[in-house]
Amino acid sequence: MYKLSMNLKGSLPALILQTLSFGSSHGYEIASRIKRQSEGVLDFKEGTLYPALHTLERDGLVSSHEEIENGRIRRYYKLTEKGTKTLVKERAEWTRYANAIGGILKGAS
Amino acid sequence: MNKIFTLEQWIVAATKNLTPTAISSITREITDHYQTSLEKYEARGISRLEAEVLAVQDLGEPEKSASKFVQVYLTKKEEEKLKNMMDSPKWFEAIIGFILYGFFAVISLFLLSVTPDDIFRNESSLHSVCFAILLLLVFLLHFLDVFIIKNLKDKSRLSFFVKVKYNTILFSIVPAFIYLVTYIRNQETLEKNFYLTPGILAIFAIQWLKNDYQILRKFSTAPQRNRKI
Repeated sequence: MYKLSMNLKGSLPALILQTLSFGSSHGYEIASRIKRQSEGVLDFKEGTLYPALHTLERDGLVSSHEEIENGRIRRYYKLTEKGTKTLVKERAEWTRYANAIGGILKGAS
Repeated sequence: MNKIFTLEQWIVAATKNLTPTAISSITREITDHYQTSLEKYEARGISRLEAEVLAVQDLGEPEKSASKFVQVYLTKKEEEKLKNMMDSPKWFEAIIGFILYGFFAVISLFLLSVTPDDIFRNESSLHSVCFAILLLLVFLLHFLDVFIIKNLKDKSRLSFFVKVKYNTILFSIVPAFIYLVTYIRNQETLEKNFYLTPGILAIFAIQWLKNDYQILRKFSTAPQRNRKI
């Protein structure tokens, strides 16, 4: 069966922001939460998470700090005020988008 | 079939061309991710060797990450350029640019002065002369960069980048304005179209400044850990 390509491209930053809205977290945990919460539907290569996180940090949407944990340096990220505002906008935008797509697909059945 | 990497190979490929500061920061984070991943796999009863392969596979293709990292972090070349910009003012480029601009500006004015019209009586030509002089002044200001960069050496870097941004905007607006005015006034003679010369030079300058602007885009808001140059 032909399968349309639907991937995470473009929505990963919003998913990261949403994950961080529950509290500060490190890269591995963010990736695991996204995969777990989507029940494996949203699968992505974890190496792409870090450029996305660093872009969010560059844009001031998240901030980070390093902690030593079990002898390892671990970087934690947390949502900034700007990030929180952006997340609210992203959620609204996504709902609008999902409703539009949903409306079209329902109409086709 | 996908190539199998060790963690070290993956990091080298993903951080290709980046600065040592960026590489060190990314390496720490990816290594922590990898080790956490190893622990999780091993906790599920997977052998160490298999876990190592799986943990790197989970990271995906390093080239994909490399293409994203390069959009966030400075490359070695960009860092070098930045250092040169900060350490040594562009005297040579500024002088050549000034001479080139001055040459064309003088020719523009000279051609105007030898047109049959009496330029100071013909309203249209007078406007053109004023416009050419205005452009000359604007561009002279641009070549003052060299002094400003020198003075900025011990000042905030942000001011410097604001200046690069200002120049990029200037070089975009001035040519657009020149062409608009020329179009509106429908100047067709070769002599009068010489006003366009500074505008054409400015377009070359846009290309020249494009790289600076790329650096600015990354640097002005880059994470603090990327700022050490």
